[in-house]
Amino acid sequence: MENKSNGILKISALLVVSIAVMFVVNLLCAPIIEKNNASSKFEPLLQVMPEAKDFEVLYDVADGQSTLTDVSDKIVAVYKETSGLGYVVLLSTTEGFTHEPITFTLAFSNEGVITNVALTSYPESRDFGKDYPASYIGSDSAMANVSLVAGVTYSSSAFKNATSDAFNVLIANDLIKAGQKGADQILTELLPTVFGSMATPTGVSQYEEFELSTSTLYKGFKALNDGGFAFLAKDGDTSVLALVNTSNDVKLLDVEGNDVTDAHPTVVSEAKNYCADKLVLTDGSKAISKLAGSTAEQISLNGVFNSVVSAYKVGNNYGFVVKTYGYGNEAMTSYFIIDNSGKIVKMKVAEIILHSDFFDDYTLDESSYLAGFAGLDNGSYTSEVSLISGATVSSNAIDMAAKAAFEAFAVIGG
Amino acid sequence: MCKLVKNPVVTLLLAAVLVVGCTATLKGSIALVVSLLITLVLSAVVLSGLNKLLTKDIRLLAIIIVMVTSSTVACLLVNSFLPAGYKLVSTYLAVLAVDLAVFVNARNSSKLPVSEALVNSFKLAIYYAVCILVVGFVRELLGSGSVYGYSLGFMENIKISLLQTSFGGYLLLAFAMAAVNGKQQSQCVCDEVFCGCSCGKEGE
Repeated sequence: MENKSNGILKISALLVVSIAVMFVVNLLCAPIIEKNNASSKFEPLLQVMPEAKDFEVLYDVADGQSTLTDVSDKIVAVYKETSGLGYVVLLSTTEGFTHEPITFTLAFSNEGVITNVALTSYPESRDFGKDYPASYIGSDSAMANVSLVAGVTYSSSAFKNATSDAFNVLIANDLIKAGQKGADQILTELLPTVFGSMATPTGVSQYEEFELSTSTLYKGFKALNDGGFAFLAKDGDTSVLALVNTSNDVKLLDVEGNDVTDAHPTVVSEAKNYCADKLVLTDGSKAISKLAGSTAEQISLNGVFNSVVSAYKVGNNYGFVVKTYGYGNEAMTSYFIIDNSGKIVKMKVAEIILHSDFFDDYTLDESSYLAGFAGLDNGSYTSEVSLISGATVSSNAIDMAAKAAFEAFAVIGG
Repeated sequence: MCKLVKNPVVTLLLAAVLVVGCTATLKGSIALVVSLLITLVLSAVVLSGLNKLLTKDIRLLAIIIVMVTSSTVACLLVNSFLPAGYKLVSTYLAVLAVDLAVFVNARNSSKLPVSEALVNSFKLAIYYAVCILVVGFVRELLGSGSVYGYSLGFMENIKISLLQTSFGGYLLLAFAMAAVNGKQQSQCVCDEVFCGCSCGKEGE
């Protein structure tokens, strides 16, 4: 009995000592473990700012609380480095081709320049190259030296737009200063908004860049739908954007978007001369004649700078061939017959749903869809008319085509 | 050298769970080796020190309490000072508290003087370390084409991802056992390390 009590006492004592030892070790190790956990949380930040001491959280999407304003939905978190090295922004965008999250981290200096980039997740079907994210290093909010990657425009646009949002949130909250955009950058950014052939309905640029050297022209852009050309030109001290449509008509715009065509005749002349033998004329006369039921006679597109690539007179009506960018950024050709009063008589699309052999997740009764456009003019037409359920990109392309046709009619026939 | 090769892992399959679970990377293997060393040494020293106080009735209970405490202390220390490795193997380190290899060493140490228990524990830890580190190195090199997390470009096309799974771990352990034991029947690693182990002899 005594032995048993002794045994219980010894075990109890051993238990108490063991608990005490574990308690003490835990007490000593807990702060170290906590510091390690905090460091691991900041590991993605240290990837882009390895010399950072610590970070202060300015915004975290998981928190729901933030002192920052103008935070777009692409911003996951914003951190301020505590020793004054700058800021780190975590981003996630689904604007790429697959609509899966592209996530990356940007480090900014206090002067508002990107100092480092780390791409953490890239689920896109095409690679924009290891060097593309690195091309943003050294850029300020103007992003003058950053361009899109040909053939990977959706993904590179998504990356660029998210980076722009990162700049915006830091500038809007007075954390960094905005960069100054040069004239070239302003004019290049103006191009998709003033010449419909140069961009998709969502504003993604669709042109081929090339260098040239005349007395005023130094950079050219060729629309991928054969809708014309554009040039950056410098006449004296003035930088202008020259637009050339398929009828070799030229329009000049300055950095503020004002029409300055009459002020720079040399630029106009050089642009016309360059394009004289390079413009691709889309011959839609047969299609327009067949659609209208009478012979089509080609007319000039003077003053029209959008996605309309050719125009015709068909009896008392007008025929327009419009090329907009549909699914996969491929050109979709639409034909519109508009009467003297501006109403659509008939319209047809060469191929409403591109790659329909591989894509059938949409609802469309083609004949009633096309008939829905008849009788509408610019005032009564709405984007809902061109809507195809399950085919948003195609719907947007046809919508843009209809609006371009109305615009061309207003210039030529109105 | 013979004892280094014919260690308890490949001859007796002791600590096999740990070897299979924790050796997917060299980092994890190092964390396991350190944890094992601390657990073995701590439990051996404590039990050896309590030798005279522990009667036959309470010896087993005391061994268990000391083993659990040692493994907990080991886990806390590894979590503090080797956090990267700990993250890889934390789930498995708790097994140290009930591992047979640790238990046998603790039981034997409880009958030895402190210095002898300490030396034996260190030796055992080294034997385990050799096997664990070799398996960890080979598994990471052939399984993920890297060493200690540093990717080796030339291994990219010839790595065998299967080795990163549990099956791969067992496979490598089986190869190691086959290489060491060969045609001979497996032998206990007795004498200095496992005094009185049960290979034809009755142990306590």
